[in-house]
Amino acid sequence: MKNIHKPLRPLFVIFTVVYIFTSCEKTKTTSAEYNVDLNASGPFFQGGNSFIADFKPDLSKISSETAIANENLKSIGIKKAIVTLNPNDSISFEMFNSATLQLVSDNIAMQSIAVLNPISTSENQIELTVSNEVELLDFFKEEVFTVLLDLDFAEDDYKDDMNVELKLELNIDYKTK
Amino acid sequence: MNSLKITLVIALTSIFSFGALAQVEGDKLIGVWEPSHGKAKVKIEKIGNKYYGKIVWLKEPNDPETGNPKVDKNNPDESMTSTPLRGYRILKDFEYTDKNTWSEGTIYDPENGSTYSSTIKMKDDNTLDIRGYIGVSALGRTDVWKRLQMPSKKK
Repeated sequence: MKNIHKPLRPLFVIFTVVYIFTSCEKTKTTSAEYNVDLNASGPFFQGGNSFIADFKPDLSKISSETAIANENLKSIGIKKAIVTLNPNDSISFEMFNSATLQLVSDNIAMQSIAVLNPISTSENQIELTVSNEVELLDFFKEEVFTVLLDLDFAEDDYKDDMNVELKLELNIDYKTK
Repeated sequence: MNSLKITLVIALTSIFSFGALAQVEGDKLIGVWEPSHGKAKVKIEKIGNKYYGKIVWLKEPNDPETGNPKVDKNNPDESMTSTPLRGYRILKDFEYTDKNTWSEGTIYDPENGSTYSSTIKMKDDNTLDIRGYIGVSALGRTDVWKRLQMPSKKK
């Protein structure tokens, strides 16, 4: 301490305390699942048609289950995105070329978070390839955000309405001591 | 007291009318537009309170190297490079400000994978000046887009 110039001493002390405090923190990871019903109104034309839902994120649900205080949440990433067609519609994914999943809110720019191109299954369920880089924490701090699934129709389809179910599995990093 | 009420009613009516008018003005952007290079057509639509433009037509829909439909191979997020270009939203998050101007948005160039801040100015009902820039608006480039004219129906 003797070598440190006098006016810099308080700064040094503060820096040291902060360093010790932060170095004691650990990061843990947990996961959470959400199901979202997405709807679109027909008729549907060849090309991209948007299935949309407003989603009210329940961050407290994650927190209470795993005893994480909101301020300790560090990041939320996407682990899995699975889309299931409504069995009542009697259709399969053969009628779609690709699927792209995006999130947007009034305060946050639109982000693509998962994609599947091409779709090559005749089943009624697909798992999208998720982005490794996307950060969803800010979306989960919003009161509401919009989930947008673009399904690329191979041909025109004159249904009135369609709905699909999206299952999102998330990775949540949080601070702990 | 009565005059106060009347003033209040007029003020509230004006505020709501202005809001509705701004919405109608903003929606003038909705439609299908063609950039000056003519390689694509972009459909602008409204999601929530913001405007987005997605590619609905490509002059060359297939990648000459693979023969498959073009994908966003230059996306900086490698896990998203299989996203199809047809249907890709290259204009995002535009908000109507005033005087035929939409701002706060971004424009994406799939040819180099770069995203630029962007402002749209409607010169007339069928012409847009779309400016893309990094940081300061003065340091950018403007492209002129034309509204796609739908053929009129024969009677």
